Amino acid sequence: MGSARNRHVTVTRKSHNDLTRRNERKTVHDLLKEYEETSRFITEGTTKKQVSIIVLCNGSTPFDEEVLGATPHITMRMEDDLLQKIKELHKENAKLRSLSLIDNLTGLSNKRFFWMQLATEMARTKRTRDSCTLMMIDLDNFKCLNDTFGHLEGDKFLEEFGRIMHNSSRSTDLPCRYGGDEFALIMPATSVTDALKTGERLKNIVADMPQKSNPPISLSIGIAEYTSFSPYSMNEFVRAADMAMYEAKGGGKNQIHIDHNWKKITFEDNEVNRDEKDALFTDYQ
Amino acid sequence: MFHLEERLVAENSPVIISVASGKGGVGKTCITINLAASLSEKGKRVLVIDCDLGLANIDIMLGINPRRNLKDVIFGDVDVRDVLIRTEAGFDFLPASSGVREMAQLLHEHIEKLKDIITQVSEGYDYVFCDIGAGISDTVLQFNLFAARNFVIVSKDLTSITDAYAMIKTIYRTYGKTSFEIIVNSVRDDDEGLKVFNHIDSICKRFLNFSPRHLGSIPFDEVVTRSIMKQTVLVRLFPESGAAVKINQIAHAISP
Repeated sequence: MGSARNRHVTVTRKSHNDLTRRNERKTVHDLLKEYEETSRFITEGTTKKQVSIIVLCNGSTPFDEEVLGATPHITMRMEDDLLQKIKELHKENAKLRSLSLIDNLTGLSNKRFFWMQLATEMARTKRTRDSCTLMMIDLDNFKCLNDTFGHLEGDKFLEEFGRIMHNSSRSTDLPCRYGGDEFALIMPATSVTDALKTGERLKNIVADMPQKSNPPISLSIGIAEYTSFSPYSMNEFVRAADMAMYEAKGGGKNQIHIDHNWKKITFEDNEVNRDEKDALFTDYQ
Repeated sequence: MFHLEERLVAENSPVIISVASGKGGVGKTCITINLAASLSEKGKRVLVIDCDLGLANIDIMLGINPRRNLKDVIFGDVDVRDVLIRTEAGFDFLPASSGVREMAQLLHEHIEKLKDIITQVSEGYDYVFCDIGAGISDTVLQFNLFAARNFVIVSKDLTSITDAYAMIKTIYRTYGKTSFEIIVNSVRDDDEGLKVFNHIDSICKRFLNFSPRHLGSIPFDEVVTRSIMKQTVLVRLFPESGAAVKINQIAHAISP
């Protein structure tokens, strides 16, 4: 992990009389060292030079500003104002960043964060060899609700379903709104069997909801598993879950389908097969 | 007979040993550098090659910061001998790069080139350890095929055992190799280590028709973590500790 003090910040250096201005890239560490030297000279009375340095937000963090701002003997004429602005900017940036990753209707993660997180989880699977499961969920008959009761009702339902997704997933899972009425659930370190249970639970909750529209909204769910044996790329993994979901829809809606490559991948020749797994698991206590 | 053969080989040409684990995080790298340190203490000339190409970390464990690494040899025109580092622990070390994507997914021709490099650089050593990454990638399989002896590190966790077995099975099925030697890490005592080994052994016998060799077990020891924090090999830092004693015994089993 890089030390905070080794981070580069942009420094604008102004001369006394405001006649010259220089921009340079420096590390926080070097800046502090320079400050220390100058302040020593000032204390010893060997120089009358006062240095004003403006740290621009380019690359600096609130931590940097706190450290630099606390340095004595340095006049920071314009800085106070600027530091305040930088802090506000940081806050705003953080807010914007979170907004750009969260779906504002449901409060779940959005598609952008979904792809970022999926990459991480797939890499983790390669390393830990815990399989990662992906669930794609499509709301059946959602269009009917929208058309009959209006988009506000539709949005209300999406919001409610977002809450259900959030409440019924574990803290390590990542529920996302993938698009319109499509949702995704990334389940790290989860087998297809466990994912099936979660899928069933979600399906049942929606079936028990009081609903205005007829036919009522139900869930078509597709599940794909990524193991360290999987030949899937990220796109292929999502596509596999997507295809399974379309099969569920095509098969009459309100059902769960599993990616049909699953068995092939999981129990292929070199993979540990059922008998071996049984022997590995049952004989070992 | 087996031991005699080993000794003859060791006197003439380097013995290339792959150290793999199937699952990551079972202590593969730590065991590799400690075995290397122990063998070099016995007067053997030992080379350790970081073959965990995408996520190399032996340099961190040893507290060294290599300027150049295997990547520069494979993709650049740096001579492999310029990358070699003599460590304080007594063995030589060939570092790899960490976090470089091309290295994690080497093309076949690059793996071939790497094997040539290893053959070339191994000259003059008694033992060459190849610390291989976790998983069953093509690179992992190729290194296992290339090495004369295949060490497999397992812990008592079922996932680690399953993954180790999956790796053994894949290598056996793909290349017909049976030269596996098991080291069980982080056990309570020898009995637990033997139990884990017997479990793997019985499944190998039942489904693959051969028996791997049990090289030994290493007890869980909190000094291991301390040695890693200090970036020093355990057998030098805490030579009296239970884990270090066991590692020295395993080193003796490797080279009697």
